Amino acid sequence: MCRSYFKVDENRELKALAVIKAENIKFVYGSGTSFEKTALDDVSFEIEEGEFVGLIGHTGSGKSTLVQLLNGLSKPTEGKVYLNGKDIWDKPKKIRNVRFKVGMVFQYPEYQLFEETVYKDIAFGPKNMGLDEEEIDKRVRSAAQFTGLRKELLDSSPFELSGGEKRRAAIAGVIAMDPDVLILDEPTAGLDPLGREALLAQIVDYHKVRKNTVLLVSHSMEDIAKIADRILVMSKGRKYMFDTTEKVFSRGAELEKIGLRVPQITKIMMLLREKGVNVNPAALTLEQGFNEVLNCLSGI
Amino acid sequence: MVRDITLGQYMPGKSLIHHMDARAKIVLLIAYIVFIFLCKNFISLLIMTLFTLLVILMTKISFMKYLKSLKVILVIILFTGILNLFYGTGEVLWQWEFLKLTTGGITNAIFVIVRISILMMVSSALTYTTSPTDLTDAIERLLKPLTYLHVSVHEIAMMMTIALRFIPVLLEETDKIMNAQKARGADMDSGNIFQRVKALIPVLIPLFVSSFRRANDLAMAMECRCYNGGENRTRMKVLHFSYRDLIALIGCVLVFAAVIVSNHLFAAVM
Repeated sequence: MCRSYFKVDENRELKALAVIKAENIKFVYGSGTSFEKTALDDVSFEIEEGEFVGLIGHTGSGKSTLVQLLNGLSKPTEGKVYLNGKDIWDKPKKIRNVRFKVGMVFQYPEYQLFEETVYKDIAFGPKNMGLDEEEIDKRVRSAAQFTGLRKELLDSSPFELSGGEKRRAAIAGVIAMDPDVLILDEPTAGLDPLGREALLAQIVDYHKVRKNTVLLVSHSMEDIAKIADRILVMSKGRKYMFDTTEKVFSRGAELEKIGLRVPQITKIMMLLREKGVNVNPAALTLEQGFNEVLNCLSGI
Repeated sequence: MVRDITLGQYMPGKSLIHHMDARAKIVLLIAYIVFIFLCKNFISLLIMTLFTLLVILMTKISFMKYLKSLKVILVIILFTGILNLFYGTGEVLWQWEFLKLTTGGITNAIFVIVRISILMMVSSALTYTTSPTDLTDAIERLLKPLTYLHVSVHEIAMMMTIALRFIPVLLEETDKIMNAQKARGADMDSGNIFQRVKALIPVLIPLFVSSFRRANDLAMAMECRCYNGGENRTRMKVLHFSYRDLIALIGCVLVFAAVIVSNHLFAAVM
């Protein structure tokens, strides 16, 4: 039934096809034991091709569980996940192909490095895809370039790198598979402010050049506000909101209710407005806020 | 997958067995194991089996958990059982080439299977009802006499505690690393045995690296708190020998006495 629905859709307009679609997914941990816990309940959403989506939620809201369902690392207890209109669990034997198309960078990915050289480690994914040497070489080098990894580091051992370089190498290992969808689970956690900025800028650049879909899990509202097109808000295993960045952050009170907050600058704008200053509370970045205040002042 | 292992897993509870002194439990378990092997006939074995079931019942932990502990050593049970089947003397019931099935063999096989099974279950009763800290604490106290032989008992106990403490941490870590490598297309669920062992390398190397990192961190943390071994160390929870342990002791002694009596009264089959 679902398949025929997508066929019709495909013929009509290709662009409208959601690259990832979750349909009423539910996920239960340790079902049948005393530790049974529903991590996700009735979550549905669609992510369109080329979108940059931010995923936010309080600790334990089901973010990490959700992203692991999207690339087939776990199977939803109920509901379906579609990739390019196809149920990813249609052929369980072919689930690896889904993992190549939906690249996943875990939290603290540097702990997964294992090869003798950085080059070999980045090549692990492409090698598993069965690509030839020439193609692998091309991909490793371009992935290293995207993540800002210096060329001379490729031949050193991954265990000799600094923390930030390890992180870049690990992310390059996923980017080298050239996935249609890239999921990053808090890629900047534990990095220094400069490292964060640089890494985020590189992810944005990569997204612009490759025009692929990116799903970014983050605890930093400032980062999300700066780069995401749309935001998916999770709370207690359910979808709480899924809307454009401006609209999500304009509902500050609701976000605070579930233990989240809005970017600092948005908060300032909201407080100013409460005091009767005529500014737009939807200012998300420092620049926008600055302009708002400037406009307001020149208006006087 | 890795979470299914129940061997030596503590299950908190409030039963009589849970509240027993861990030292008493260990000593009684050792005596119990000796008596399992002292059984000479079916009556003695039956007494031990029934008492084992009683102990299991008293722990108030579901019987399924105990069966699960048997599953781990199922291969060993079957292997020794079948081997014993053909290594007996007595009346020959069936013969093929050099394989002889005898009445003695059948008795041997039943004995071995029941012995290993109750041994495993009663040992599980100890590990299920005793927290790892209590267990190592008790071992440390019991091994104390060895300090006169210059064996650093406290260090051994500390190492055991740390090892037990880190099992769940490492299991979780393994899960995480496995997922990360699977996300890069590592194939761990298919292929022959050599391919599978090779597929584990991307998991084992990061696991080793992080184990050493953790060991380093832990050593540093202990150093920071001026940890310096066992001398003059007091405990937060002191083990007490109480009336429960006395009851258990009397119960076990009665059972052991019954086994000795039945060994003498009835003909030995082993």
